[in-house]
Amino acid sequence: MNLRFRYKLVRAGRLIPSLGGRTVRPRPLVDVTVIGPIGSRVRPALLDTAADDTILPESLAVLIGVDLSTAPTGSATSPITGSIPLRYAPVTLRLTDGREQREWPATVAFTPARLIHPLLGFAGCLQYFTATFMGDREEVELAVNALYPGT
Amino acid sequence: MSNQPRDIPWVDSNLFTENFNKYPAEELLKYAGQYVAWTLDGTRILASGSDELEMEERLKEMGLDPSRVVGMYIPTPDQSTIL
Repeated sequence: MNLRFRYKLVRAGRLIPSLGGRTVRPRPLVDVTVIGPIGSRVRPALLDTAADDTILPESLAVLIGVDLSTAPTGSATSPITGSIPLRYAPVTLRLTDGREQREWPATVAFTPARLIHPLLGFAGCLQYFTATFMGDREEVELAVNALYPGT
Repeated sequence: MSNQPRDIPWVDSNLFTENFNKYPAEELLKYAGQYVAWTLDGTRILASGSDELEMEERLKEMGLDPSRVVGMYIPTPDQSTIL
C-alpha cells in the first residue's frame, strides 16, 4: 500500500489571482516525525522535488540531540537567498497517512537559515519513493521504491 | 540510531491536515510570523512563540511534552515558500 496525503491549505490572507481568487495556497506539506538520539519532534515539511537535500532547521538538531560539531558541511543555493550553509547528520524519519506507516534512516541537512517549512528533498526522502502529485485532487501519493531502506 | 528514544507517537498526517484546513483563517492569522504548537490532531493551538525555542519553553512551562505536538511556523500573508 502507498502513502497518500492531502495537501494543507495555507492561508494567504488575500485573493490569489493565479488561483482564480482563492484565498488559500494548497501545499504538499506532510507531518514528518524527526527522531534523534534524545528526542523527536513533529514538523510539517514540504515535499519538494526541487530540493537536492532534505533540509531541517538547526534548532531542531539541538532539540533532538543531534551533534553537529563535527558534521560534514555543505551549502545550498537558492535564487532568492543565495547560498546557505548546511551540516549533515543521520536521523530517523517517520510518516503515516493514518493507514500505512513508514520509518527510515536518512542523512539530512541542518541549516541555521530561517526556513518557512522544512524541506523533504531528494536525498533522504524522495530518492526512496515514487511520488505522484495529483493537482486536481490536491493530494500526493508516495510509493516506496527499491532503494527504500526502512520499514 | 540504536539509542533513539522509545514511545514515539505515530502522527496521522491526514487527520492533522483535515483539522488544520478547517481551522478559522482569522484565528490563524493572529499567529502570523510566529511558531505555534498544535495538538497532534490539529484541532487546537496549545502555545506560541517568536521562535521555535520560545515555543518549546512555553510548552514546558505548561507541563506539556514538546514531542507530542506539531510545531509549525505560520507564514505572514505576503511570504512565499521560496528559500
